[in-house]
Amino acid sequence: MPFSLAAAALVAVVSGGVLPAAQTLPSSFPDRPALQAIVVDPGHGGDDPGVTVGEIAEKQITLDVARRVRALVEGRLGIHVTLTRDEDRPLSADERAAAANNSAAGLFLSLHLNAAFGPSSSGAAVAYASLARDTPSGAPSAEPMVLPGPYGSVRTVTLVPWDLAQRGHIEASAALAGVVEAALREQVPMSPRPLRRAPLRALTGVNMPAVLVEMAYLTNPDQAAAIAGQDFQSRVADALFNAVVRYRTIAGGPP
Amino acid sequence: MSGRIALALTGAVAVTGLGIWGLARALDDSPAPPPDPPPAVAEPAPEPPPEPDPAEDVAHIRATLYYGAAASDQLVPIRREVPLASAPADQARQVVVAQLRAAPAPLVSLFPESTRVRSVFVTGTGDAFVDLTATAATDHVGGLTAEILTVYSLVNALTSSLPSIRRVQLLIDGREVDSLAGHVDLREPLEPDLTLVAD
Repeated sequence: MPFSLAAAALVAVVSGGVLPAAQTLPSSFPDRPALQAIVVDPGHGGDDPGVTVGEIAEKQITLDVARRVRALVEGRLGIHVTLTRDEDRPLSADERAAAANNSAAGLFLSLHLNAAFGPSSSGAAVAYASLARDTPSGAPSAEPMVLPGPYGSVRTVTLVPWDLAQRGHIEASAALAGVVEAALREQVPMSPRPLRRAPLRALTGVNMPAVLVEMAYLTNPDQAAAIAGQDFQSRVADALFNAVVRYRTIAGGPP
Repeated sequence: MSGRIALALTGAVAVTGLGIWGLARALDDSPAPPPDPPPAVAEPAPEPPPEPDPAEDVAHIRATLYYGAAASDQLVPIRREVPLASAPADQARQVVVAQLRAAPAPLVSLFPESTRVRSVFVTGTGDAFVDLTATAATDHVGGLTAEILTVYSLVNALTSSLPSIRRVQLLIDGREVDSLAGHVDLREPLEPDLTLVAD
């Protein structure tokens, strides 16, 4: 029952809205392939700056941290890292999902900075997708199709509707969210509600476990000053690196 | 010959004149018009009548509206009277209009102050479509938490206040949109999320 703990945690989220990190770690995901590549998605970009406070723009901080994560993960783990953007340009949610789905990656981290209506909100948080459509979570998204292959062979292809791509990964995404939350907690201050579940446009079309990482509140003056600095960005990158290492151990890859 | 014609014309004029006279007499029997007003007297203009208290003159329903708390990332419910409307869409619009008004202190408004409702539709299956002006998106502060609270303040207000509404989809300038600020998927009607509400 490798999913039993994750499923229990999922119920806890639905009923209470907060997911205790300790309950999100399933022992393993033997049905998932070893982690050989990941996708890091720097939020916003181009004419969409995201949250801006003074000279600090969310789109630049997310790109800076994404590059740090790429350097760490590729340099130390040998896991290929695809950035959905490596420059200041706009990307639609579907373009980000396409970049991820074409990369054969095993997880997707979308980086963002948070905002609130008051200056006191602070701390990092991790969110994963809930889907508005009525299809039961985890159900097969489409019937397999048998297509002709070369030399009379056949091959089976399952076409996943774009808007349902994340549906088959909700439980793994919940587990990934718990792993990322625990790793962040070791490095940076956390929000009082560090785990969230919401219908997230950026993750809907992503066909792999996926979470959205809110690194800090840019509307909090102290956090804005911190996230603009090298130390805070380095600690966030270290936390995400540690999360990849830990997630790899439960995703079937080598320790 | 011309003398006869002249005589006939004279008779016709006389008959017409008598008719007009009779009509005038008949009108004289109607109530007399009021006398001319007296000459104006220099007096201060009377005070305008006070605004009627809507709670007294118009039927109302009790709606639950949701605003932000300055020190937490949760929705705070408050009860407000909104005018009663006969049609479901009109009633939903009244709730939306109330939700878009400035928050009572010390709570904070979650939609940009410039946001206005353009129209509201309600289907027979309980889906409400709320069409807002573009400033709901263009003037939004952004960020996941702020966006979640903004969207669900309206979704929760409509579903909490009107039992016939089960889900709510936000439109901008008459069109379906991906999101307000890049995070919350608005392409489908959303069910309420009461986990966001403060205890």
